[in-house]
Amino acid sequence: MACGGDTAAPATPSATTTASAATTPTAPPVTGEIIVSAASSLTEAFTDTVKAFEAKYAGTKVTLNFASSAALATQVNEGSPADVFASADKAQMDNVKAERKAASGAVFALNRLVIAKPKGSTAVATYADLAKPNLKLVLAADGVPVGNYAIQSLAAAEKSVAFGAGFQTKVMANVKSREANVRAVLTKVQLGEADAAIVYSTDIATAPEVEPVAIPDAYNVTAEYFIAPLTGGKNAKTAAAFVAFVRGAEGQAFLTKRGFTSPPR
Amino acid sequence: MTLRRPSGITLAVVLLATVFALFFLLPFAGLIWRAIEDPRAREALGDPAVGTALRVSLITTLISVALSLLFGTPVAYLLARRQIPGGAVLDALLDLPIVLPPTVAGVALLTAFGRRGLLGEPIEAFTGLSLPFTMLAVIVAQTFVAAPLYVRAARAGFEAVDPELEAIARTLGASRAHVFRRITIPLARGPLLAGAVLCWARALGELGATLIFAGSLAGRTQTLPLAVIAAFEGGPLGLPGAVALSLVLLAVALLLLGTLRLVAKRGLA
Amino acid sequence: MTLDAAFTLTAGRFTLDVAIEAADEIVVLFGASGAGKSLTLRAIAGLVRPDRGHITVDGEVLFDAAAGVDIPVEARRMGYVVQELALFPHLPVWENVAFALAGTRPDRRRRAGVALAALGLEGVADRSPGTLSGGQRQRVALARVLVRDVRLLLLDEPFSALDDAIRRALRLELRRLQRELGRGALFVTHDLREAYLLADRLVVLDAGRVLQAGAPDEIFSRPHSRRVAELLGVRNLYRGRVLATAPDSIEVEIGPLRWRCASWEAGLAVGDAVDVAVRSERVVLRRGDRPAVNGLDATIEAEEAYGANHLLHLRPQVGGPTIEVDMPARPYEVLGVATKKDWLVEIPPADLHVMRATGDVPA
Repeated sequence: MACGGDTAAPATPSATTTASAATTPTAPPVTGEIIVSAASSLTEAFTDTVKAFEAKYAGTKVTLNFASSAALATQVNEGSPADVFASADKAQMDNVKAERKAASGAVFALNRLVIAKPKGSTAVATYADLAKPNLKLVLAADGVPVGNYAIQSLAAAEKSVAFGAGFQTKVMANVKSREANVRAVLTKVQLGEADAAIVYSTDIATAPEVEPVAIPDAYNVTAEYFIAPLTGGKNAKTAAAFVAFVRGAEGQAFLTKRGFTSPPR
Repeated sequence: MTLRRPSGITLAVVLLATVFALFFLLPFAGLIWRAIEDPRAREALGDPAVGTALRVSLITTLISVALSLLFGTPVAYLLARRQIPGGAVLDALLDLPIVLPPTVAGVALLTAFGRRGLLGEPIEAFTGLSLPFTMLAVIVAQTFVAAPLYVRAARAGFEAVDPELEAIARTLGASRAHVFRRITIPLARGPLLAGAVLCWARALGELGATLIFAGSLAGRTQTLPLAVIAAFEGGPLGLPGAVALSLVLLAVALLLLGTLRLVAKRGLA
Repeated sequence: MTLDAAFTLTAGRFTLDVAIEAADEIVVLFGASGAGKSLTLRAIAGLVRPDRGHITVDGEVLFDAAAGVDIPVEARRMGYVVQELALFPHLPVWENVAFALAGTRPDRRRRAGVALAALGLEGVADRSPGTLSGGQRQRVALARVLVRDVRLLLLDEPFSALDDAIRRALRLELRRLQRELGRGALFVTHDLREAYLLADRLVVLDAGRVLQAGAPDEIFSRPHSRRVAELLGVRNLYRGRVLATAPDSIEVEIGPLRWRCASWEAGLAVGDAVDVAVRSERVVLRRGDRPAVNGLDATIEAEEAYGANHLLHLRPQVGGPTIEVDMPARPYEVLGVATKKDWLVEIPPADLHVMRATGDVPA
């Protein structure tokens, strides 16, 4: 999913100045190609971000690689040549750090869970409906961040007075498939094969065939997205610039536009 | 025999062949090396999840192969004897699942048998039953991609049986069914068995169509290849689990290919 | 057993239109390859379906296009044997023979053993057909049809692939078996000698039609047409015209030649165009006096030797067509044909057969 660096993105004069300033021989220039491995829920936000980044730093080219954070972490640990890793949870970033493929990781975006259902479907109207018998529910696989978050949410409901013991078991009995990433989960709802799925609230907007059912705040989970340059990358300077760009005002604007929340400073 | 200096061409051929052989050998060696070197992979071999995936794989592929034989044998025979109107069209159609990426097959199956599919929607409306996410969906996906391999082999096998033998057998007073059982099938036995083994191997390795059409749930629709993906993409078994599952698949595949070799040898004898 | 078959059938550009009757005898279907002999047998066996007509055996209708009757192959009880034999390669001999027999395995095996013994095959029951000699395989193929109570034997050049000696033995054996069984047989061959040796009745087929049917001697001496004569190996065939008729002979003009002929088809009148047939072995070379009838002077233009015989091409000195003479080696040597080229030729009137002219005369 490479975004063409030569697209005529409108660049502000100041951006052009910054880019040329960065190419002074005293410091390694922000230029050349980097590979960014990002959680699939970031697909739209990062596609926008990269366009603006490439416009700001002329001569850069960012190749995006979307998959579940878990799959990306495995790839990075097995030596895939990425420069930046953007994970949808802390666990997968820790996985990469444990293998010393990344030194640090910073939270750059927050997300919430929501129930996705086919537009017009009446099978699910509330969070409690997920326990209705014979419902076809789809979740992401174990280890995939959104799958883990969904389980956390169900566990929280299980402990609450309102839902009570047995809720989680009933819901899990309705699970028909555990998909590899959040977009595969969403697709099952888009196709109408699943009656409901638990996805990120940011995903709903990408699928017109799907509408949300809210998960009450008490049982909802805040997903923390982590970003870090990778030690195995070939272009540390540009990788660092990209991470800074995402965390900066411009990058945050693209994320909030797609429904993410900025982390508190 | 006098020794001659090997020519440059001989050396080049040997070199190319060696590189090619290594290319196929190394990945399997890597898999085995990883299993030996990583104790977690060996531990994962004993994980009940591996057994569960193997069980799902064996159940679904055995049924898929049985269905392929049941429906594919008459079709292959009629194609071989050119007794189907529109046989050429059916023939070309049977090539499609072999040529197309399995993911396309998965999407196509959804459009036919999914809850909003051509056939799936009316079926759910009348019976309340739907195919996706069931073990039956896994079987449908496997049969769709694997049965054509059997039909191809079986057709070639039947074509090699002299129709005159069947004709003579009938003049002797044997019914069509008796002739088919005692003449046609035994004479085409080698290709039929080879086709069945190929079909089974293909069903066992099926991933793309199953993932799209049947989803992935341990104990229900998660076959060995799907379990490999789940483990590789961060599942609880993790990479060691993926290695362990791959080893199990490799063992089953070797068993199948060994059987195929044996069948081919006995077919020649 | 009586067979009454009359049907037409079209296969591509070929049309078969035949009527064949047979009783408990050997009826030989004789003709060149492509005449429709095999197709006729296949239709009677039920392996191909005629477009029109009927096939009846012993009064039972096996096929009737008009009535919509078509008894399936397996119910026709025909003993069909083909040149290729079509033994089942994967089954031992006894299972080939017992293939469609009902009953227990020991019983089937016993019956196969009886059938094999009747054909002089002992000790091969458990062998694979591929390990047998050609003659043995042939006997297995016969045993396989004779093990059942068949109504009619359909034998499609069953001996063609065998050596001469084995063929002769098998022909005799077939005659014996046919008499013992009291079953009729349709025997297809393109070998004239075989046809003569076996036929109680001969049916001459050509281009999908029956040209002539009857006793072999009758057809041999009195072919109906030029084509039949050709098929029966007559080398001397001449186009001519009837000059005169008498109660015991007719006189025919062939170019400058005038011959008296003692054998002719009914209904010929003076002036009719005719074909005259004389077999090459019936022409006599002689010394001494000119014969009273059908003598002429001729010169040997060419000759060819094949085995024990010589074929001479003689040109009449008055002109006219070449006469071919087939002469065994012994008279050839006694007469000194090798050194003498001019001869007196005689054709006895009884050996000249006159037919109504049909078709074009080959140049």
